[in-house]
Amino acid sequence: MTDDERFSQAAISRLTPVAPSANLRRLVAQIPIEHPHGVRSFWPFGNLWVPGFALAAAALLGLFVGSDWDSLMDAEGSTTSSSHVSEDGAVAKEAASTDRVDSEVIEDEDLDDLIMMATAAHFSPDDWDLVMTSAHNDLSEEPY
Amino acid sequence: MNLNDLEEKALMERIARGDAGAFRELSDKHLGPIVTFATRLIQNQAEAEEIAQETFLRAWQNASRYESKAKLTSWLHTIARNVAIDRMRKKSRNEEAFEIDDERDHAPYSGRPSQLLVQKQQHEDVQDALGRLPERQRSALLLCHEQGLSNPEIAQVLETSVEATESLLSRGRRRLRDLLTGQDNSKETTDD
Repeated sequence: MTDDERFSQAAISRLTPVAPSANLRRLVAQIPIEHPHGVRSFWPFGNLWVPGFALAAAALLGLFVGSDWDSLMDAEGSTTSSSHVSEDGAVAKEAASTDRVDSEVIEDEDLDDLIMMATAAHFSPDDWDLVMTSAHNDLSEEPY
Repeated sequence: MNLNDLEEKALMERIARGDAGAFRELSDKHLGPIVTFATRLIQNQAEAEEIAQETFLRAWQNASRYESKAKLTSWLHTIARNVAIDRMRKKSRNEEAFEIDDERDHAPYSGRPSQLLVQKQQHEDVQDALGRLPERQRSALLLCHEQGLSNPEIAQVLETSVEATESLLSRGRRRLRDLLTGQDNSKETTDD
């Protein structure tokens, strides 16, 4: 160790360390609170439990509102209530039967029109047989 | 990497994950030395406390960037020194009161040492003499003799080579002795 080194060491060792004030300690202790980083820095919901509670509350609300919704729809006589929608086969069968009824209605309407036309034209019984035969032939043809 | 280095690395990893307890461990251990170092550098305890606060804020925010190849104390002192230099630059721009340009730091010591030693406390003499050193010499001396850093660690803080650090220390010691014994002839003109 040189003389200069010894002298400097002795001189600087005379200096007493500076103790941080209580205020500085408090300010430094607050840094993690006032400047959060990592996931929490962009997490908008505060405590991690908050979104959990929010989801639970939403689920509870869904239970109550969901049952009210069903009863409301049933009261309005909707044909697409949840009980019907859940059975796809039943819905399809119901739709098919509805189509068949509709085609029968159309056929009856056509026959009514033919009868009206025949009556207006004063058809004889032979003419009537001819008209009905041609009408059945027309209805049995494939639609365009 | 020794056990202490591993502990420091683990501590900084915890801080990087946002562990406030780990940050408290860091501040409990290093706040005092950083305040002391900043006070010596800037010669004002109130400002030194602001520097220390800023240092620990930066340490908290940049913990994930800490590399274990540098010792934690070197890393913190580097931050503190950079914050202090920023402040001194701003202040010297406004008041031209602080000398961080080594070329300008050659004012002769005004008082006679024997009178000063009588009139002032030794503490103030040393503090005053340190304040008259160029910033890099002052930092090197403080880091070596007060903070107990090794030459390679001081080189990391000053962002220079170990050889340059040894040269800084040598010139700083000589200048400090000259200042305190009244032999300062202010012939030394460069810091590095």
